[in-house]
Amino acid sequence: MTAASLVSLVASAMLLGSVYSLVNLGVVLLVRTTGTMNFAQGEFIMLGAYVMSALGPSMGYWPGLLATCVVMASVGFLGYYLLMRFLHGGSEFDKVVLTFMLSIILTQAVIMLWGTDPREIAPATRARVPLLDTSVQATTFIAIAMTVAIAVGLVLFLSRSITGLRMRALSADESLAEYYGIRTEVLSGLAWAMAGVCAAVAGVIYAQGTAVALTLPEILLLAFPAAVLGGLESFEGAVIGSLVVAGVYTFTNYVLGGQWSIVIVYSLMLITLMVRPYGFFGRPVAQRL
Amino acid sequence: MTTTLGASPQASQSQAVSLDGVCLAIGEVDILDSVTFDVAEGETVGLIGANGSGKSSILNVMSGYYSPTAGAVRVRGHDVTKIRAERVPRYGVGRSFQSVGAIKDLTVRELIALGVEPAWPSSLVASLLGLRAGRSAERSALDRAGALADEYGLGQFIGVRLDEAPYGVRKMADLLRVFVGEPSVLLLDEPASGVAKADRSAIVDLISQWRERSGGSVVLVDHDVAFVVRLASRLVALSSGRVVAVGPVDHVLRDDAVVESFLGSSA
Amino acid sequence: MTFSTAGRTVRPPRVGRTARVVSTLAAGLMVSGVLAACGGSDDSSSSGGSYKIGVEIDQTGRSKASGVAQLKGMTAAADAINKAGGIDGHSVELIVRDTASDAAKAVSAYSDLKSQGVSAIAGFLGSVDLGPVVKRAKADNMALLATGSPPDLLDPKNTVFSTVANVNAQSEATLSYIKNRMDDGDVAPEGRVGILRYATPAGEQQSVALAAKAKELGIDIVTEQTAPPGAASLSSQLQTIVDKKPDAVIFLVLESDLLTAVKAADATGLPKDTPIASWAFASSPSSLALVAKSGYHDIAASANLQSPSAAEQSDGLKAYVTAAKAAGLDPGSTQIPEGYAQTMIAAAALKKCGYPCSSKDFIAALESTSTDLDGFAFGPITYSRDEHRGFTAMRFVTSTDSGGIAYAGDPIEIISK
Repeated sequence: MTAASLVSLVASAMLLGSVYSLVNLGVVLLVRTTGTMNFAQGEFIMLGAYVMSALGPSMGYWPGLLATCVVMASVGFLGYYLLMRFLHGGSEFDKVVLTFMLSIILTQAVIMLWGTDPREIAPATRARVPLLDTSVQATTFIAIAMTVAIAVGLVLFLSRSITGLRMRALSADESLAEYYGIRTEVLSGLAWAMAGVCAAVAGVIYAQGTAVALTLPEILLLAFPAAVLGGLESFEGAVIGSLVVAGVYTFTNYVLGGQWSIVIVYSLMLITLMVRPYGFFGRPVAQRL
Repeated sequence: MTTTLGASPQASQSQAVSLDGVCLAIGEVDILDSVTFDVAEGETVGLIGANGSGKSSILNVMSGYYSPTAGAVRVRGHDVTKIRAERVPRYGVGRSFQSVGAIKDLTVRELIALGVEPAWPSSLVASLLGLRAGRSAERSALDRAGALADEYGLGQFIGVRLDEAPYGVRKMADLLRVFVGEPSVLLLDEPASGVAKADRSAIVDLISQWRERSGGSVVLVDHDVAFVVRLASRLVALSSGRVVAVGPVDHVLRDDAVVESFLGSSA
Repeated sequence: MTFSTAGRTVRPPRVGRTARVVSTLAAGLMVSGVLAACGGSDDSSSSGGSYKIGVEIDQTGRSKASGVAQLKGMTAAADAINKAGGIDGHSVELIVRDTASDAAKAVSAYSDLKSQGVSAIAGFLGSVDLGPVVKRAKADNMALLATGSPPDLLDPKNTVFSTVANVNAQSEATLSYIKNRMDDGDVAPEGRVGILRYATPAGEQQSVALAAKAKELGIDIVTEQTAPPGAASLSSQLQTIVDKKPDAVIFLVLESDLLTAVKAADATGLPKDTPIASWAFASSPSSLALVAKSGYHDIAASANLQSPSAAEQSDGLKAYVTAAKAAGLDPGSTQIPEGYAQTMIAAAALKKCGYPCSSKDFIAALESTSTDLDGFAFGPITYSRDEHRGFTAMRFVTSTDSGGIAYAGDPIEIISK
């Protein structure tokens, strides 16, 4: 392997790690705040990408991304307000089932609005940054920076702000939180809106390196081993788990070929589940699913 | 900081809380039957009765989780019968919980800060945008929580995660979470349950201190009558969802109906 | 035993079971309503009774993008036939079952369709749908018309018929295309080719066919990279290909993966002027335009059928465009022409069969059918007792600067007679 190949592979691993991180941050956010494992997060990501593919060409990249975030925040909020809200205080299983339904609704909406042909998101810039013997796409660095900003923002928001504190209380027990005088519906809606924003950014970064297509939600399954590695309840764990999985995936792909990388990543997840069922950053008490 | 809300007071201001003919049925099972009693300003009333006699249900009705089938609950003259649970605290009602196990990953100080009534929705917007106003409001909530913990002697535990704190500390932290909202009426559900006998005095002290400082009223539920009488000046004795006796402690404890229905069975 | 509650009711904790049930039902209804809207055509306006064709196709599973589009094309064709008076006065009815790319659902859908007395079953995007029902279909003498059959299932002893150029034929055609470019001097005479294909059983069969064809044509496959469908990143695969400095690249992946591969090629520094060949699963004008837009102008993909964006127009193509537009579809959209062609091929067999047409008679009729769909196909689609592959020719298309489609080279014969 040449130095140029190595740089290029590390860059792809970091980009993939950023995508996995953003996917998992959205998942962990809802687990941490509302106690819901959202299986529609993949469809949120897909919808974010489609919205950007529609808005980006006319509005430009950054205004388009901002508008996409607003749209997806609204979708997240409405998903809560029109569906999930009615399971307030209900079992985790019921909520998971309802998120599956939400995912079907979102998929059908995308097919009705945009059809089945793949679409594209033009990157913010086509510039390349020279590095050693080669060059790396500037968008890779932008993606990494956005991921770091969102991860740090979420950690600070949940650990330092009173609103974040109330959200954490919400995840422990919705009914109890309500007794405490916490506005559970507003805060849950807010958490879903934030998950929508995570999905918007994840969808845009992922789809601009791939395609805007109906297969995008599968990223949730691909990123899931990373979330398990990180423990499902920890933002730091989600990011580090994502980087590890993306690195293993990229390099096994290069060295062993495509048929082995998935096997190895899932084996990693199974071993984690056997050795530390609560992940490397979770706590034994914090198992939810 | 108690917010005054709603229409003009309908009942006498001297009553902190009054229950008037409260009935509750869940499905076809009658839980409470015409429960009527008052709690005066500054007074501590203990609810006693066997398991299933309706003690906790009364607290659930008072804190808005159950809507009574008939009757009314008034807090300082405001009818809160139809008010949703999450809004009841704004009428100056603070409630502690029997179980403090659910919330684990907060620190003692964070749990206490949960009781600070936020300036809604400006605090939400501000904290989302990271505005200075929001940040200072957040800091003041945590500061107030810390200061209160110091005041009540829990200062050394403020940074400890709840699931790593001793049980008694958790129970006390939950009381401070109620205190920090500056309620005028405390509803305490088994504040000493599960706490070692030796630590119960600390909880009695905590509640006494709060009464002295705030002059507020307390409705206290505990299965341990000895604990209740250390704090309460009046008792309401319940049996099968009915009030069987109301009055000063000595009077109620000597009441034949009470002895027969409750004390007798455990004596 | 009941307790009198004397007219009292308790208000349950704010949201009760009723609300949950209602919200769940509402969500369910929305979903089923949406799915019903995608259903097949049920136009029995003709008095003489209708031909029934079963359709097993993924509408909600991992291949839904292709499945939804294909079904739209199939329905558009059935609507066009029925609007024109049906087949000798008998309308065509499509009875659609969603397989969700799930073997169990495919099997139960098969039994259901069989019991409804269909003449044949169409749809079938891949081996997941097709594999589990092949044996039963053979035992029942039921023809299965597939757009995604693995080569081994097309063995004439089975009752599977391909209604597109099959996977291996298309893969071999990409090598023929590269060979033509070598002969024209566009690709270096060494013919060093890097290939990206799927790590699936069909992909392994493809690999064998590719190796043989490359040897025959004097092409050097310098690396053959594999990936699962829908991979989140193809950068490692492309890195390996780029490291080998190939003269041309072949991408044998579906449309969305083709775009992923091209983005990865860009990220890993594959020269922009590298000739790229792909197959019909990725040959819609929109995807070719998207690839060209990323800077890789020299891309061509094989096409099963004439493209409405290209200059040459046959009667069959015009009929297709009319039917697609009447159904409110974009004629240039992926898999819609393939769906339309599948129904039209079935209709040709039904016409030959006469009414009513038993499943056994249908097979006999299809095995003596040959049609080029009025010029919509690039050559005859011919079935016989010994040949179920059907398509005999295909053609390569490229994206023009104006976003249209142009043919690259002459039709390539894919089944020699």
